[in-house]
Amino acid sequence: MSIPSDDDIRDELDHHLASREQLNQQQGLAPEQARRQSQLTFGNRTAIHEQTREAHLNLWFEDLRRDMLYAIRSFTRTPALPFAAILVLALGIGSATAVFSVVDRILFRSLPYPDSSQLVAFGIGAPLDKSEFMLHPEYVKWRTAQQPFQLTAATKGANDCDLTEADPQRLRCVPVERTLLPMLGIQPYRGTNFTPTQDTPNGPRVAIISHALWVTRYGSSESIIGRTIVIDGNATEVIGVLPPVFEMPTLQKFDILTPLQIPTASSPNGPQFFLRTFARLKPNVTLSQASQSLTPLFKESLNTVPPSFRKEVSLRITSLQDRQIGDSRSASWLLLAAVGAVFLIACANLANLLIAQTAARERELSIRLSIGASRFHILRQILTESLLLSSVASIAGIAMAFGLLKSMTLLAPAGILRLEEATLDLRVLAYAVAISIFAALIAGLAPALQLPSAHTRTTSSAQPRLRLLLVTTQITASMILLTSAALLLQSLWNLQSTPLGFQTENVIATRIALGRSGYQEPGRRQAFFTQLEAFASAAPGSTAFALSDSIPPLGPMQAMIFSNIEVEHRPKPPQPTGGMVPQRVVSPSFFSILGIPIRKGRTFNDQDRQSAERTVVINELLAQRLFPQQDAIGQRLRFGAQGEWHNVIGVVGSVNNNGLAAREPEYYFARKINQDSGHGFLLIRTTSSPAVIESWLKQQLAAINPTLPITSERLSTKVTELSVRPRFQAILLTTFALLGLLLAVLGLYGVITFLVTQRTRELGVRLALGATASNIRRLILKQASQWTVAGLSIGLIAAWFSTSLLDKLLYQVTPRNPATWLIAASTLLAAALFAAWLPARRAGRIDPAIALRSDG
Amino acid sequence: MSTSPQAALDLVILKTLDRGPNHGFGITLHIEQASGNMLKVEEGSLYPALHRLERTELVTADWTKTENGRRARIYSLTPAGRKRLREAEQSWSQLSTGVAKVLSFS
Repeated sequence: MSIPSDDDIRDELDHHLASREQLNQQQGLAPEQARRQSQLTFGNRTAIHEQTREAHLNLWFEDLRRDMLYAIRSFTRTPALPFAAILVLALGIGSATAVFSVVDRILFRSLPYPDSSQLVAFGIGAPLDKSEFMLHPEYVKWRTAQQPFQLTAATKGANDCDLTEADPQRLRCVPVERTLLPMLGIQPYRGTNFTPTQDTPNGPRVAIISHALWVTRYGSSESIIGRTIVIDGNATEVIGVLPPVFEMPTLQKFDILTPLQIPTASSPNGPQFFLRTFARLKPNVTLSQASQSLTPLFKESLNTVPPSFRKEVSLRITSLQDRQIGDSRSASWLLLAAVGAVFLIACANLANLLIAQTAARERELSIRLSIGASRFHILRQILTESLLLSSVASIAGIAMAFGLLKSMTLLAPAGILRLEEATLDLRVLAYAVAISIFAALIAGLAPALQLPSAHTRTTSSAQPRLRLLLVTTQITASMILLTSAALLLQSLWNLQSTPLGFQTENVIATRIALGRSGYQEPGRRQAFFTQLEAFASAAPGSTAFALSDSIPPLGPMQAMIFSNIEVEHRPKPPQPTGGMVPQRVVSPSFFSILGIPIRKGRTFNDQDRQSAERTVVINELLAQRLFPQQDAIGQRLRFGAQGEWHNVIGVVGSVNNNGLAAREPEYYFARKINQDSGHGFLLIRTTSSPAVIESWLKQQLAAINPTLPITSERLSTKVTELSVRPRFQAILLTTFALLGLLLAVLGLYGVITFLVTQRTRELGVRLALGATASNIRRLILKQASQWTVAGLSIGLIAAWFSTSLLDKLLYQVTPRNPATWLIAASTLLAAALFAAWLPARRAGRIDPAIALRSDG
Repeated sequence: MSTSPQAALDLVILKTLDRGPNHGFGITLHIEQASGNMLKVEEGSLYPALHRLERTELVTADWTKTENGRRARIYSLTPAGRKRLREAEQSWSQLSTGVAKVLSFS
């Protein structure tokens, strides 16, 4: 339909005026008077012209304005209902938005590199490490022969490095290939990238520093480029500064990038560098195509792997985003699903409230329909109301999300992927607005299904059914939430009550990392630890001390492939690798301080550390595996074909390693700490506090190495830290589950109350006819429990299929665990019956005389 | 379309067009005769109402030339307009019965 132009309207009005003028003349008026009279009866022509035009343009706004005014008027008449609706929906929107702001960064947002979907991590998957990796000779071959990538880049792990200038500082340095920045599509913020000559073995010492280091240490000075700084005693030229938002593909923290300088031609017996390797796919190349294309190279590399290994080695290629998400995936989806359920419960509540409101206005709506309002018009009115409610709720919800995100960030343990980046930015706000519109539409359509028709004034018989259906849905969602939360709580309980295999009481652990400056030679490192041992026994309140290169339940520094552990006089079986066996280097009192029990033989003494004869202590699990039928004591073991034979002198109890998760075979050496890495732990059993020990140690070390960074912590704190993440997950999920339960129960309460009010007259009749109050209560409770049990049963079935999402997050709990399910179901049932009992009690107290007079 | 004076005017327009297509002035004349001059409105206010009905597709409009060469806009009822008229007539009678009952109830 075309909108009439101004000319059209003018012509139409002209026609009217001319016709009237003509008629006036026919009725005997003089021409001049006929004209004047016609204008007079017509009214203000300009205004009418305007209004006619606006009839086409402004109808929509006009209707909206009227609907809004109407909605506001009806809300302010009974403020309790809209207030409840807004509160409920704000809780749903708030929790969904807060969680989305965190999870979005992990799962959905593209990484901070141009065309980041082309970025992949590739390499070899092997039991040695959970992420893919490559050894440098193979990487050098792949790098030139590969087809699917535009560019590849390798990095080593970050290592401690010291800025040994005035005001020395411990930093993290990462050696990277010069292709890393171009591959990621990142330009240095200042200066340049490494040149090919800088990235060759024995090339000049150069560095690119992080933006943060540039700002904090060098005051954003422009003269930083070309400046010489001293890293681990070596003069190094700064050639570039990274952009402010730059992150490593491995997400590791770092301050300085140095050139990787891998040799292009490798000597067969030289050291092999352990590399993380990344690449950018050529346009339109998929992951599976890339994998196919790399397979010949991989097969060739397999020839360099010992045959026993080959079965356990695979070619791996994953998108960079997937590599980074790693084990955060399950937890992220779980949280997203949980707030989704809470949000749906909130929507169902809003729908129920709107239905109640529509039902209360049924007569009014019937009258409006009968005087010509279309059903569409009423529907639009209801949607306007629900949109109004949801927009107020979205503002409240966003405020709530802000607070929730703040408290999540405060509560959260360190190392939750990208949590510190999470903010309520435009994207998250758009999400909040989108879900609130969704809520408004869903909730607004529910009462629209129940509209009375103009012809027959319907009774409300259909309404309870829809409302109870909504309540059932809420109970279902709530059941899934409660089950998941209960499972996580039980898993947390298991995790915290699992015996560690060692005791932590009064043990203070101090980590020492020597760094490279001044400790290049193993002799210097050993000398340091010898000095440390010399004064450690004098620590305040100390009764004993021990040194080790690693402590449980943290993972050990080193490990040996099981099949490489040889037993003397026993042929090496052609078996698969058998996984990794951790190795610890400890001082003699290590076992007594940690209370690790001696099962057989003895532990180390001081002679073992000095004597030429090598000794080893193994744990029960390794003993069972190596010597299932024999006595382990007196046997001789060799660790690697070139290793020396070690006498097994003792078998000790197993401890929990690697983040509380499991016990594993393990063996201990008594060599002097620690020639290899310069890392060590000093364990002191003492009644003093960690702060006292730390300052005492610093004082003692002042003479030896005043800049050595050390931190002392209770061992029990370290153990607790490991369950911080499961605890955080359990707390969050339990919070959402309880919120969901509260909302669902409120929904049930609302519906039962509504039903009781509606049936007041009927209940009055029953009472008048001799029903007792308890009959009435039972009647109401029966109805409520029918719907609760229905929701519960559906919830059980739904939870049965959805808890598999939890599998990876659970510790020693199977997801389909009857006890947990029973707890969740009975919690829900109790809460629901309580919610129904309140209106049921009220129903029992109905006064028949009053009830019969009411117009129910 | 719900508040009464406007709704009433719309209803009267629809009723008039039920007799056959007509232009604005023709509708004015019919309302004048039928209501015995009861509707004392400015004649011009008919046009915004007509255009609103056109916008909501209860009526359609076509241009024709009159004998004296002027353009006249002829309105006719759409099926939706006819349905709305039937519903409204029915509800009016229901409502008035209802009102009568309510009045006689207390």
